[in-house]
Amino acid sequence: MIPPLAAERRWPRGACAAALPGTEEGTEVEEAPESGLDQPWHVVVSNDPVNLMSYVTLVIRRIFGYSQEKAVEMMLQVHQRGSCIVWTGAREQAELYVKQLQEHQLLSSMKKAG
Amino acid sequence: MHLQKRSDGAVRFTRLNAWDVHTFRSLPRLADYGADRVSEERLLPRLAPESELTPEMAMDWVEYVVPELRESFAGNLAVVLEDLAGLEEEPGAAADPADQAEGAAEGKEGKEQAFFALTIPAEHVEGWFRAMNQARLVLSARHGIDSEQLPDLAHLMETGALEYWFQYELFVRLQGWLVEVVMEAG
Repeated sequence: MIPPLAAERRWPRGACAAALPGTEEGTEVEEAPESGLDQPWHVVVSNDPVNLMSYVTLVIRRIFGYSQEKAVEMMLQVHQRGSCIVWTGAREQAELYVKQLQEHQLLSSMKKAG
Repeated sequence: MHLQKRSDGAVRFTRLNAWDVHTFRSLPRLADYGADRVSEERLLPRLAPESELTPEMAMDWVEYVVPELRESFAGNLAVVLEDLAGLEEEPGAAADPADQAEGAAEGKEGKEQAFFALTIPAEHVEGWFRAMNQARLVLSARHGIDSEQLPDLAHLMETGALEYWFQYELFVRLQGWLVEVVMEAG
């Protein structure tokens, strides 16, 4: 059985960029729960010399629901700068996204924001 | 090899020659990341830098997520094997001029070359794509072949790995086309 490409759930989109230290401009940021127990995490896609640029774009677009233009911009950042923060938000959701990215064999991980 | 996208989203490969079929049948072996540590680390990278992971997070990832990733990768290869079971021989297919020229150059003039056809249902296209991607990732990790630079061909010949480069390149072309098919399908 092939896992679905689309994210299983969508969270409301929050503010972007400068709202969080260490967040790169253009990165999608979703508001983390105000539990105090969790801090935002970045989901990072890193460059590798194997994955096709068109495929990276497709996966980013379909997992996160971004527009084609935004997904291309992120793919180019991965390719040219070596990595790109593709999403920031609550830990559990970040883990799910990393899992989905790794299922699609993109080199991906998460790191604490800030 | 001819590629055709059908209106129902399926794709059909026709005029597959013996080497194409051999390469497809080799996919599970080429994509086997369990045989060396570098390949396994590429297919199953860490969730996060070790310094940022709690022991609980690290344990949960290894215990719950990694088996699911392995299962997903195995599922892609199972899709490939399932479709290959439906490989059809194209009876009486006359070789096209390029194939005839190649056959003549190899001293096979007069012998009919066998060709095969394969249909991949729409719901299997991404499985094929990912299986080929996995094979390329393993070939890259194991033999230093990648898409950004020409490999050391002399080294590949010396080590008997030149065929892997051809297979890697075939997968690049097919993947590029399959991505277009998937994107057009939305």
